[in-house]
Amino acid sequence: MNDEALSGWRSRLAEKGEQVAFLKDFLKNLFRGGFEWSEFIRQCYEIGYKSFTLVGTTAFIMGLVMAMQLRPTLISFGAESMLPKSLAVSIIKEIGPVITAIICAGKIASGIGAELGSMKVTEQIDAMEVSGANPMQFLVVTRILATTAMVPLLTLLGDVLGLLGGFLAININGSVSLLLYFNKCIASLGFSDLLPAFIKTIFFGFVIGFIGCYKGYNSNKGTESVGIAANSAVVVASLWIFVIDAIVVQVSNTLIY
Amino acid sequence: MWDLTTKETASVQEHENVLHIKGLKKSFGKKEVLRDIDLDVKRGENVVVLGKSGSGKSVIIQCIVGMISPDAGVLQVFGEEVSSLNEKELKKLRTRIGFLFQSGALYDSMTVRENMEFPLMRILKLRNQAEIDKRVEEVLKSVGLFESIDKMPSDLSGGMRKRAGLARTLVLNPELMLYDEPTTGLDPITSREISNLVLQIQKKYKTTAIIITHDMECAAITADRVLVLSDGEFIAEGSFEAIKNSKDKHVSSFFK
Amino acid sequence: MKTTSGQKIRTGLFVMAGLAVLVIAVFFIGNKKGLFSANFHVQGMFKDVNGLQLGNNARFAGINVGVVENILIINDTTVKVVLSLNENVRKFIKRDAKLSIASDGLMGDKLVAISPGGATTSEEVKNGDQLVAVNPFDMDKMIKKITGITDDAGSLIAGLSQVVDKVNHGKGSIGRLLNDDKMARDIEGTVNQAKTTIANVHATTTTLNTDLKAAQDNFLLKGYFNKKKKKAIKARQDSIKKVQKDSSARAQAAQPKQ
Ligand SMILES: Nc1ncnc2c1ncn2[C@@H]1O[C@H](COP(=O)(O)OP(=O)(O)OP(=O)(O)O)[C@@H](O)[C@H]1O
Ligand SMILES: [Mg+2]
Repeated sequence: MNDEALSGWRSRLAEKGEQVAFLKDFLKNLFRGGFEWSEFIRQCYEIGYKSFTLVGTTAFIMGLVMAMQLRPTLISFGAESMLPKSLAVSIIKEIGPVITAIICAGKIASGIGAELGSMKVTEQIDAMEVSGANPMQFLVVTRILATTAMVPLLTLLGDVLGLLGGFLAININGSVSLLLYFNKCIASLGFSDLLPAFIKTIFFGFVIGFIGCYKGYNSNKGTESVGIAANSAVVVASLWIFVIDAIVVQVSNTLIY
Repeated sequence: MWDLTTKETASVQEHENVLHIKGLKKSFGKKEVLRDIDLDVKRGENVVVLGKSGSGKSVIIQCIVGMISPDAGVLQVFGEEVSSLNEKELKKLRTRIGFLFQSGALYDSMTVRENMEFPLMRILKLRNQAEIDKRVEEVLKSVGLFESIDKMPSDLSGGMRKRAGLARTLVLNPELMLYDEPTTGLDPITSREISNLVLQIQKKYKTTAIIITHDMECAAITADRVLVLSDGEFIAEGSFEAIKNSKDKHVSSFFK
Repeated sequence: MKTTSGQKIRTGLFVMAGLAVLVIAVFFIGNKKGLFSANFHVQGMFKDVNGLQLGNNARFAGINVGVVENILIINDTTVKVVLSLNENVRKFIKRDAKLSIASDGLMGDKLVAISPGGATTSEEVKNGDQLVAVNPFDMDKMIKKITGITDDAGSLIAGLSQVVDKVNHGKGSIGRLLNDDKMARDIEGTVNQAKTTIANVHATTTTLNTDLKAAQDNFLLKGYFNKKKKKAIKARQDSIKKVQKDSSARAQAAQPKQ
């Protein structure tokens, strides 16, 4: 790294280059033997299981609020029976994946950024490397794979809880059986809705892990850089989530229709 | 350079050269940290490097393990040029070198035992749990930390962390030990204990060592030979006593 | 820190729950699209499919029984629509069933409606059969027709306003009738004449009434009419009686004006 401060777009371009190199390093270590299973499982626990309460609660409330907000509008069109359909489509295709990903960016990307950042500051990453072990494989590959696997699962469970929230909101005002509600939700969905939504959550998970690891792993060696790593991990990961969302909707629309 | 130890160098010359550095240069941006470093370390020798903060002592040992690539000069460890090694060879070289970080650098998400197991399982690829336990317990006993085997690093004192860090590098039986300020941040009594530990390690494991410090007591206990770093060059070399009695004002300023 | 077995179990449960949601969603949606049950195909040739899309539903007796699997343009006036239908409904669809394109509600998706058939044959439809396609209601033609009707209505209204204008100015016979006193007196004779006419009508309808009753008895003897039809006839008779009453009432109402 260079002491000279690169200004503006030059430093941004340099960072993009570093990210590409980091990605290459990740891929190289991904296909190297000796996968760290126990660390991977630990990360799945930390990233997946421990985020479930937060993601589930948020999704449930989102579903509830959306149903309450949509109801008056649909009633004014005389389309109250469209409520399950509009909830299902909006939650499965957009709200569920994006809200879950943004929450995970806030919780997981910042957590990884801070953890790896402080490991960098306290020379733990250097120690691992100097001892001849492989910190990329132990720290980065496991975390990126864990987020890539866990964020889609969190999204699926979040979707279900969001729909249950919507069901509760509908039953505050009227009464619809759970069977009818889920039947209507399922009936309004096709694979062309489910598949792009699911695929994009995989990308979301990857980007959350990747940006968190990149920011933490490449943070500077000062105490304040831990905070910077955590903070910029959230900002950059959230930005990427929206960019990926826009790309996926464009690509899936051209592929499907 | 002031050569104050003609007698001693002659006596170690018959040993194998573990480290050979000639004309090493390193700058960060416009800042010239290492200007011209020459250093030869024989097998079994404890070399102490003195120098004020920011003089580039850590940079030297980071170059030795390939964490920093020098701008110019010869740098051979165990007869191999470090800059010419590929990734796999560098990794192999690193397993023969023990590096004790200034902070200890314990993996703070793991217990002391797991910290010791980490390099055993990944670098020596040991799978036999009984053998792993035996080695972990032995090395922890030799640094006097056996009672804390299942503690988390955050529950250890500064001295205990240093010992644990030391144990983790020793568990791989390194041939060359690089100590980056093993006694900073410790009280005088603990410092003396750690210094004696460094000496014991040299005897027990037959290691060669480079010890970076600005703790004179540590230098006095551990050093076979002392080098003084200033402005990117070694300005003095000799036994601890010889350096201590030096007339040079840069050198003698360390002893005030 | 090593993962404890409790943590591993919880992680496992979490993963299983997530995968279960995925599998269930895939299963239900696939089931809805008939991916996991036995299917058969039928096709129809349409002139115009009105925006029908792949994956739209195929409906039989108001039940979704399959999906549109393929839409192909055969030539400039023919579009082939291939439906994939659930094997279970095959026995209900006969070979003379007709396909038509309909909409699900005012703004809903297009769908293919299958009429049951069975009028000319009782043979059930077979895999790969081509069914008769009833072409969808052509919007353009309908719009043309409506335009024609409004044009007619336009000229009608123009004529009418001319008539009203003339009436207002006492021109023409109705104008004079409304505006001239002498004319009103002449009506007396006309009304008298009308009274006779209505009496004649009365007589005629009474005869008709008896005729109908006879006819009814006749049919009943034959056991041809069912109860419902009898009721319908009664209703018709009632309405005729009502016409009689009305006309006599009107005739009486006209008399005092003399
Ligand atoms: N990776 C790096 N990038 C840029 N500059 C560096 C880097 N490492 C060291 N330096 C610079 O090199 C100089 C020497 O650093 P070094 O860490 O070797 O000092 P030191 O002699 O070990 O001091 P201390 O006793 O405080 O540990 C410092 O001025 C530091 O800013
Ligand atoms: Mg240092």
